[in-house]
Amino acid sequence: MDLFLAVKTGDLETVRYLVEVQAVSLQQHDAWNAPPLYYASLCGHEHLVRFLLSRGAKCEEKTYDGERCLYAALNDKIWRILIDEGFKRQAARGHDQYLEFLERCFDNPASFPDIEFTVQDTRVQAHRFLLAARSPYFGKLIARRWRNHRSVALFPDRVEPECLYALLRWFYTMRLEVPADELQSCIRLCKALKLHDLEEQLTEKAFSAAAIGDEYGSVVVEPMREDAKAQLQDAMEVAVAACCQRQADSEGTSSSGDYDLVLELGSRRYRCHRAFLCARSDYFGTMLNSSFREGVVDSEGSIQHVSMDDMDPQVLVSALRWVYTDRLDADLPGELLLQVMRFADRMIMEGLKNKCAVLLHPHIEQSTALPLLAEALQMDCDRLADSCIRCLAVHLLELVQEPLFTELVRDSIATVQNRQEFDSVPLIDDVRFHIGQLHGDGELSEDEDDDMGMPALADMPSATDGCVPEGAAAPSNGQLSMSERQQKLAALDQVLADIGIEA
Amino acid sequence: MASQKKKSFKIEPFKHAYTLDPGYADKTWKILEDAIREINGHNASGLSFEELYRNAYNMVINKFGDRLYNGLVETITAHLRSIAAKIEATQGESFLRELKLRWDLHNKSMQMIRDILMYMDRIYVKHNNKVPVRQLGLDLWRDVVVRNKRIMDRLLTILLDHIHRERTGEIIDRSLLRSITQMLMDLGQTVYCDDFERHFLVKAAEFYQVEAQEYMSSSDCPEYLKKAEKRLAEEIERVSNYLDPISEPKILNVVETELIANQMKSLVEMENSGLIALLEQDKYEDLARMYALFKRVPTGLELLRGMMLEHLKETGKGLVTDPERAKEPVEFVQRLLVEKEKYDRLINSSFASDKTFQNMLNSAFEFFINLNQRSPEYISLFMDDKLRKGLKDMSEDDVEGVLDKVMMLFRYLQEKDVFEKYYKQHLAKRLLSNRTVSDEAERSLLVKLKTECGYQFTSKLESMFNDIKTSRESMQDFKNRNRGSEAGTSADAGAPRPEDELELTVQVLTTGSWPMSNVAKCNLPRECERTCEDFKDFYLKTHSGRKLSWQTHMGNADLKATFGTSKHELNVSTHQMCILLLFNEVDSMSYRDILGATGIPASDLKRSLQSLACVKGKNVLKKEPMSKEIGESDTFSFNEGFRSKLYKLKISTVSAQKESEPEKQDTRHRVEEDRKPQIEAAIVRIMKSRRTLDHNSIVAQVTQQLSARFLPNPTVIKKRIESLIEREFLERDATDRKLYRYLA
Repeated sequence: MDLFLAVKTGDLETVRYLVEVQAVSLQQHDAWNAPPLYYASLCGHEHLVRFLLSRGAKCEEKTYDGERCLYAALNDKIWRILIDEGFKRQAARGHDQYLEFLERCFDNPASFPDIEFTVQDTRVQAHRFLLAARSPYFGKLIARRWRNHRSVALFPDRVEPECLYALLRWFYTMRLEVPADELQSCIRLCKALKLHDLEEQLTEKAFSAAAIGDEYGSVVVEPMREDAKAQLQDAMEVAVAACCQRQADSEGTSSSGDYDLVLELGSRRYRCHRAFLCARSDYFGTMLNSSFREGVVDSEGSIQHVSMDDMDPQVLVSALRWVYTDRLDADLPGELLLQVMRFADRMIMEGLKNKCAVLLHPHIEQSTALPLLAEALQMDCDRLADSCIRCLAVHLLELVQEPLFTELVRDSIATVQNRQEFDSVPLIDDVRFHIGQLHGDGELSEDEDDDMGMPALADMPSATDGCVPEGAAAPSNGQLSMSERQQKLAALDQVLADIGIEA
Repeated sequence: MASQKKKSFKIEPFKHAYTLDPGYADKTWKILEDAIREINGHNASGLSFEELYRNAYNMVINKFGDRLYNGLVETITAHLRSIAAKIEATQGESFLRELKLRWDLHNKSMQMIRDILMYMDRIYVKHNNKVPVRQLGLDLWRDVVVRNKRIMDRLLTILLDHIHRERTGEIIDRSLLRSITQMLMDLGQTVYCDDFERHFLVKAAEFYQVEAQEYMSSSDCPEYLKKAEKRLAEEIERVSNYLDPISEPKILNVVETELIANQMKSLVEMENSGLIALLEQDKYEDLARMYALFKRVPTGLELLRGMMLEHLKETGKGLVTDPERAKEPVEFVQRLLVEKEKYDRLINSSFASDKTFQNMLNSAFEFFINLNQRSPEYISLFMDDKLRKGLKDMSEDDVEGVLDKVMMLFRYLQEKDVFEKYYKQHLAKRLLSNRTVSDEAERSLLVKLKTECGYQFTSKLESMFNDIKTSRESMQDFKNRNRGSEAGTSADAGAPRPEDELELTVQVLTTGSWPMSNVAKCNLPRECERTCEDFKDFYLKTHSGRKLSWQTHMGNADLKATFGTSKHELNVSTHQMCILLLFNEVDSMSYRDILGATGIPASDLKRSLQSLACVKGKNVLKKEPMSKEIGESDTFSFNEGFRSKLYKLKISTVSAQKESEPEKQDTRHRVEEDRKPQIEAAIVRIMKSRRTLDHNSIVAQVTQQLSARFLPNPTVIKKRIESLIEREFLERDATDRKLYRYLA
């Protein structure tokens, strides 16, 4: 049965059979160099387009095939499906800093590799701890046979260089790509290394490749990006757990010996890896590459000790976990989250800082808005600051008396250089903006401003002690929000007047 | 702050941890200041990054960023002052080296300082719009060290001195200069431009000004150009070696101005080696160099073109007005072709096929070809010559080549109608005497003329070809008919046609298409007369309503003659035949008798007789008295004793290839006459569409319309307008005498 014919005629059952039972590749091209999705799109078979996309047919932006499928779309509906399912899905998984970082680590002399495999002339550099975390079998080899070897020579009659390279790369990326004619030796290698899952997948591929007679090109094993990331993260959890083990526990275990950086915190020792810390934190990257004491490597494979004395161990562990796995426990208490964020800011780990900021959002409330705002401004975290200002705008009447607020306004004034009469205060502007958002955007006419503004100010003292008085809501909703708005704006003006600035 | 303890979590006043200690800022800064000193002293390997970073971080967090930043500026400034003093103190050559060394060290230190102040760079600098540490390091180096007057002056002098030395052929340390200019560039483009490049360009201008003078006095033009080219290449290399690429156009501009633009006029005018000399000596390589160099400066090519144009006009004028050359039309045209080819090749090989030069060449040729009124005639004669004999041994492509070249010259002609006149005459002669070598070549030339000048120009020429073709066909018919009637009539008439029935070939020419006037027909011998009548009957039967008149002066005849014992076949013109046949009856005749008997116009008769009696070896008639000229009282007799080795003899009429002066006048006159209706037609065409127009516009438009054929004379146009007014095609405007109106 021909996949292309079935796609053209819109025969979903046949296509399903071919794809699911016979495992026919959806990335193949016919004599006109077009993929199956192209014909489904061209012939207007909406159900087939959905089916093919769900089975991994690619429709990616800025690729020949992708744009071609889109161009061929018979109607707008199919076009829309291709955009939503194809382009956007690809965009969502397209950019993942963690995966990119792992891929960069592989075979990169700048990422502090500590083991080198050679087969014939091919040299591949890798990290012991990562291999051990990814494969127990490798872990054993590293702990025993290769314990004191920086370079491991493999015999070419047992390992094909290309297979080794592809496989090691797979450890870092979960993506395996081997030339079709190397497939069998790669399967053998997987068997030898006890990578049963991968071996199984490759065998399947080999079977289907043989079925369709595709003996050229390359075979690719690649899970969906989220799955791949999860698997890699799970493996790295093992590694980070090993880092944080107490000295006594780790003595006997296999892989924990392969560290090259020790963070000291009191009596605790965290045995880490430059490969990860340098790439994930500019602080460590700079420190270990600088000409200072920490950056000077006196002898091959020396272990650098760095003191982290003013840190909280909990914070450090959370941060280390993020460094290795890109994960941060969402249930961390607010105080700890903030401390992790401060740590991330200090260590210049932008990813972690942003993650903390996101997780801190639910913690913004009346009591925390101001101090969090202060932190967010200090740490240059705009989104968190904006959320805080919004909360501040809601509770302005309660918070306006806080000395911290006045202090923040003063700081904000100081950021405007060579202040002129007509310059405004950025923070006040932001608060006003949010007040406008909260209480309707409409500009007030001058009359209303005068009529409503003055009495509201008179009411203010009674309104400051916690919540908006019930009675004020009585007249009418619009009336209320107007007056509350007036109160808030007036309160802001008062703060400025107290500081002695007009804006 | 303590009061905000609510349900969620308490935020520790994290950043205020140290404010309790009033000496905190001073203490921390002291640590950092010492560290910076150590770093500047290149003694940093013992310092702890962790500690310094932590201190800097804490200062920023606790709002001592100002203190930190200002302290940094002060410390570095002080350090650089001492460095500047050290650099100043260096003696002589090692100055540049010292500067470079200090610069490298400074960069290294700044990198380390930046590392420990990374947090300040990210937060404090950004929030307070300060200059980032890296840039700060550059700015301070620039202000404290490089722009230090004593250092700057010395630096500049040394740099310029090095460059001068390299220009004069010394070897210098390029990599050192490279790193110094790189430093200036790193400090900002303005530093490089203002503090170095400006002076560099001034110095270069001075240098090349002097050098240009030297070269001018010591070298001839090609040599000078070679030197200038070399200097340009050197400057390009210098820029790529140790200057910034932005300098390249500027320094090249200086060299171009000094070495080329300022000298080019004197260069091209150099005696014995300037442009003219190069052109005359075919120095293609030097000319190519001159072109390439002059192209770099704004008016260079203009100068070159103008000068070449003058030169071309001058030599061309010499060529066409040289009376010696004008004697030989073919030679004359050949000479022009050679000249044209030479300059074409020159422009292609040396001037990169520059379009403006090609145009210049065209205008020059147009100018001088039209200086000689006989150019159209000569060009036609040249073509005639080629088509008669010149093309025999040439391949088709070569023929095309020759014709194309001649067409080039033809394009330059202003009086194309004059050319047409001559061409028609020459073509007629070729066709009638069957002298044309290749029909194909004739046709292709015709096609070329047609594409050049349009259908109108060649329609008559084409009809000439057609006449020849149809004549051939009708002659065939005529002969067949004779043969047919012979077979049919022999039985009943019983009068067999005489053996010596003469064979007649007639070419029927359309009146008007051919350039000939109606000349009185001469008296043909009886034998001929009969056959002619036969043909006339035959022809008019198939083409009724036409009139045939015999052009006897164009024909020729083959005669069998017996001189005593020797027999010959003579190829003579129709006129000569008439004369010779007279001697079948009598042996001797006087000039007057012959004139009377044949009725040939006197001038033609004289020429015919001349070739029959006065050419040695072909004198079938004897003349009394013996002389070269034919007199009215001469007597002619049959030359019984004529002998010749050849059986076939061609007795050609003496005819001038080139037109004689009166003939030329005649042709000109006819051309003028032909132009009149064309000018009138053009005027009417223009006025019909414009209705009213002033005199000057009419003249301009008529000239433009007719320029493809000839250049009408304004006074002639004026006359034509007047003639049209007389005939009431136009009228003058009642108010404005210069305005004409078209009368429908």
